[in-house]
Amino acid sequence: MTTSQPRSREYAAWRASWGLALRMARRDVRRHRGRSLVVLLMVSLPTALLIFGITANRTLTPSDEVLLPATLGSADALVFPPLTGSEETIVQDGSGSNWLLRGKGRQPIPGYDPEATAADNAGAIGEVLGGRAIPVEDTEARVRLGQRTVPIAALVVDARVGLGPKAVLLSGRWAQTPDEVVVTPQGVRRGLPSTGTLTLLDGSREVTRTIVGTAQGWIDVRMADVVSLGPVGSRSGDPQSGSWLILGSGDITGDRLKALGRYGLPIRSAYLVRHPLTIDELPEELQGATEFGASETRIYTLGGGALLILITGLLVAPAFAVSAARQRRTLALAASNGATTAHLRRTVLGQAVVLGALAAILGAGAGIAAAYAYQQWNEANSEQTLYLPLTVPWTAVLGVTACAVIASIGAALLPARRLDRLDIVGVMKGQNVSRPASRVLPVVGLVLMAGGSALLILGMRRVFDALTVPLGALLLVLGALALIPRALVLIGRLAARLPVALRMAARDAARQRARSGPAVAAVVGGVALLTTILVAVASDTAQSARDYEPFQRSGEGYLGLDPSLDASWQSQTAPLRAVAPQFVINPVHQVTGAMWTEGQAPDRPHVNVQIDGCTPEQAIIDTTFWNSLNSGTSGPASFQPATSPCQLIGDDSPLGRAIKALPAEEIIRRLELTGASADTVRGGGAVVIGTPRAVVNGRLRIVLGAPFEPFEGAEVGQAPTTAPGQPPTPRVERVVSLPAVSIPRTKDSSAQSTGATDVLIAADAVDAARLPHTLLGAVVHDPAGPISEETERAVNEALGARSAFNVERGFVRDDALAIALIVTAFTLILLIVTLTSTALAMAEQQREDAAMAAVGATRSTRRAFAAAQAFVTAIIGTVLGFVVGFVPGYAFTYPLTASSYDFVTGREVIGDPTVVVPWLPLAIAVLGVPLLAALLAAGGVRRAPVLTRRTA
Amino acid sequence: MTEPLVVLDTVSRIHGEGATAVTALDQVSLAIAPGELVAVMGPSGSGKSTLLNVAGGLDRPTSGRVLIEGEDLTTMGGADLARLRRRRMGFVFQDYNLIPSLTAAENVSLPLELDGERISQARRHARHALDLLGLMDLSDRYPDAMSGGQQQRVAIARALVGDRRFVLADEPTGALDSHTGEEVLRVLRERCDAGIAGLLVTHEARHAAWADRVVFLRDGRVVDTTGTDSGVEGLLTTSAGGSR
Ligand SMILES: Nc1ncnc2c1ncn2[C@@H]1O[C@H](COP(=O)(O)OP(=O)(O)OP(=O)(O)O)[C@@H](O)[C@H]1O
Ligand SMILES: [Mg+2]
Repeated sequence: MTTSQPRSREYAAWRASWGLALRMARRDVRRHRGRSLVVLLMVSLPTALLIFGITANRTLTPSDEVLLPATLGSADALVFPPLTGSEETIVQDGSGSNWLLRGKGRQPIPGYDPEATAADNAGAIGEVLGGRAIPVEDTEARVRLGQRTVPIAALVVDARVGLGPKAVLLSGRWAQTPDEVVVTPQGVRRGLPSTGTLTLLDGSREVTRTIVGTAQGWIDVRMADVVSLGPVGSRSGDPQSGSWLILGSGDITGDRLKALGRYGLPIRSAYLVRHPLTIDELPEELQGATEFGASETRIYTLGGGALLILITGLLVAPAFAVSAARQRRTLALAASNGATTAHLRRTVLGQAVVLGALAAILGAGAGIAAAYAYQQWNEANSEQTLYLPLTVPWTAVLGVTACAVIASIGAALLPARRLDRLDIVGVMKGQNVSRPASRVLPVVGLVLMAGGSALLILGMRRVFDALTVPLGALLLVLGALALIPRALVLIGRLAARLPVALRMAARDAARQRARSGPAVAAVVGGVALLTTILVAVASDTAQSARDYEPFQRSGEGYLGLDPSLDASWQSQTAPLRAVAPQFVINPVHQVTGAMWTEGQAPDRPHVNVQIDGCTPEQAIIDTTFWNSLNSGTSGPASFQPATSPCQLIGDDSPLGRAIKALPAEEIIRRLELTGASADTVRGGGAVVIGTPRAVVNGRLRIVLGAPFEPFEGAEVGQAPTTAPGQPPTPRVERVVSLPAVSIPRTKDSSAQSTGATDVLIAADAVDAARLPHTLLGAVVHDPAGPISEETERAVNEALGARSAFNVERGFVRDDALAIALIVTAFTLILLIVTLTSTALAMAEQQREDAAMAAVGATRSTRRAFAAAQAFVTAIIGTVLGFVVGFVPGYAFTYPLTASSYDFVTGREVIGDPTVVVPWLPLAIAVLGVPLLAALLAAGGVRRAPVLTRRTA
Repeated sequence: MTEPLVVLDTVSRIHGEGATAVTALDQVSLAIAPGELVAVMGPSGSGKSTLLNVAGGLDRPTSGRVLIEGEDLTTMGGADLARLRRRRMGFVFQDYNLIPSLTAAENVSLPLELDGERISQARRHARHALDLLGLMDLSDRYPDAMSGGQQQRVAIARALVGDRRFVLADEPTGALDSHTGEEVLRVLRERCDAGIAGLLVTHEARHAAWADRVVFLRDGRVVDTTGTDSGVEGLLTTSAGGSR
């Protein structure tokens, strides 16, 4: 006899018992369809949600690699022009976007002319890269479509050379001369014709291009409206606006990248995007940021996985506890036929494996399918076609799926753990009482809760990093879970005075903790999470509502206008008049010198209000303040940007407080001025809001400053900068003085003054004083009352894509739907958990039912018992869960809402957190779920033959 | 006389401790030979089930020894006891003996499959056992599609499958009508005649009449032992079976 024989027999036994376990599990799944479905849903729903989340997220925030088809097509690299006016070399990572100047010593590119266009330099770039350089450019232009002009984005490239997916011809042919263009589906969607001609507006010139085909062409990740061969629009041909796709250069590896850095050429290499440099291979200067990003991603992945295991475990545990408890007789029978503990455990685990694996795979599939559907929907519904292919992060999906299987096996192991102590005699006699509750567990629970709370408090004070709060919350919840058995025992003891149905239910929950415990735990976990989420969401909304600054008076509208459009005020506002002739439409101008007109620096860039106690020069640049800042004596550090007391309103106000002009009557109407104030405005005056020191002796002074003297070495035509350490010299051109009234700032000021405005001047006075100004838009109101939503929609339809008309409706809560969805989802899950547990309790109570019937119990008594069972399980869980969830909810919300914006002072305020407890949705969960569960359980007593079938 | 298959040697079983201690078995000795069917009778709470559980290794005696084919159950570990239950003995309880997710044949082959026997082999044994009891028709039925009597007979087939030589039955007819109950006992009797040992707990005298020997228990003590020919038949005029 060889020694291998007993071994092979052992193995055969092992295999046979797994085979048996899986067979029994499969049959059990089929026989108990309802219960299996519940388990299936409990595992697959969270899995599907999570996988949907990560897939959708990955799809919407695609990696550089995913985007390669759109950004590079079949090219080996995309090369950007070297920074002009710099002699420095660069270090980079090959992504094209992450590069730094390294130091002097740049090598000149032979034949490269920084003043020439991308097309002219293509030869020189191709030479240096060792391939063929195809110039690409993306430009904006305007197209005339009937009466309208539409801005379009053009991809300027010679696509005939074959760029792969970057530019794909759909019909017709590519442009062969600069007079020809190809239109994309995106362009067609925006109203461009797909055949015939296009009329482009180049400044005031009109040019006609022939459409020779349709194609897809990508500008970075956006689909262009047209693909053309030659320059389109006025900014075309600017030396800095082009770049080059490199064909046939071979892989641009790390070494080649380093060499090319000496020419100062930023490069996106297809090879390096696919095979990124490791942290060690990266230039030292770029290592830190990359490292940080990687570890952060790892933390989130780990945290997400842990959370999924926890949630799924909590959800599934009651279902498996049910199945294990229901199987007790089967297991005892198997044991009486010689099954060992390992055999029994396999039987229970078999179910987890069969159901868990099936559910996880189904969930993963559903999640991906949902992400696909979302991507399709998103593509069909977004204005701009973006290159966002469905990107499934397979590693993460596999990980999540594995987590779900692990969670269900873990949930099944919990009840399987006790099988070594399975009391065959007791089970066959029908006994089923939990062992005395552990004495250590509650202590552990309290310690965990204390630790968790401590972490949460620290988290609120922002002592540790972002992980403190989630970790604290986790400990708190785990601690609470550890307290559940003891809580159940206590409640069982306290139940002596309750009516008989509730008393029996409480005792039952206390004595059958193997069954009730997981259900209560799941409810605690669920409600805790729900409470946390709801408190956070509601508080965030409340803070948004508190910080909301209306832009217009309620029910009044604003039409943004494009001053560069050659169309007149009349024609731009015509659609408004057409829809609602009764509208009163007034132009809003900003009094400013800082507006750049096409290619021309402003000649009077500083228009500011002179504050009391400041010189006109200080209104332009406060040299004293500037020096105090630079010498580091500006006082205690604060969160607000340092502001000079002389530069509060105007072009140089760091807070962007503006001077605007409106017709006098409109100012009076909006600010509801009367008497002398109204007369001042009517007489060509101004209103100052919230800054009394801007009005001195009833007059407002506005300082107009000429551009700063260019400092030595600054390039002509560029915005002047200052020499290091030296403030520029202010040059006062003129001071305009206007009669003015000062009114205090109130909560309504923003709406009355069209937002972020501290001075309103009568339009006539602006013209009379020759103050520089630019048209911003039109304020619109209906003398008959608030503008309705239908009218708003009609106006927008009439305006087309040109501009938008918005009517102020106050803060619009957008969280109602989210809250409703969250509460519904959680309510469903909690109901499922509670009812599963109740169904089991009822099924186990059949012997008691007979006894109860013998003492005169009716079906309604049975209903009362079922209702009480469900109610007790649920209410213990929801109340505990609420208490536990409130703390992390508060802790999460505290730092999020502690900083807010004060509309009167315009400053950030710290330490006034908005913590809102959304009582109604929480009450639905905390009280509604137990009541609903009770109702359903009572209703289900009669209609639940499966749950009461007696097949052991 | 043949060597006894099962020996209980001054076995006591005390539940609980101190004031609440209950002596369920008090120095009970008993030997069962192959081919012998022993019935245990006695009032409720007299310790019948305890005796059977101790004899089958489901419960451990407080003192004394239990030997099956010479092996002492009381010193055995859980794994060895499980092995004995797979290979040496079978239990039949009052009701719900069958695993609902397994067919009759699978239920019967369960101990063999657990023991690592090939499925085909185990199935052959199971069919054989079912055949012996005239239950071939039921092979592929699930328990919920069988009558209570059929379920009990399948349970007996399982208790006997393979080389198992010792059947322990705790009121196997308790949930059956008298006719079906008789049928179940006839089967048990037949198997004992074929050479296995049986221990049957019952509180119906006419069921005990199928046994070779009846052990009377009261308060955990054996108060009387009768052979069928000597005592019980004369004692009980209503004996319906007595087919021997
Ligand atoms: N787990 C236990 N704990 C305490 N006492 C027990 C336990 N199991 C049995 N007993 C006691 O042991 C005694 C014998 O019980 P056993 O179940 O063997 O009686 P029985 O003869 O089978 O009765 P019945 O005919 O009613 O089934 C009884 O007094 C019973 O109360
Ligand atoms: Mg008994």
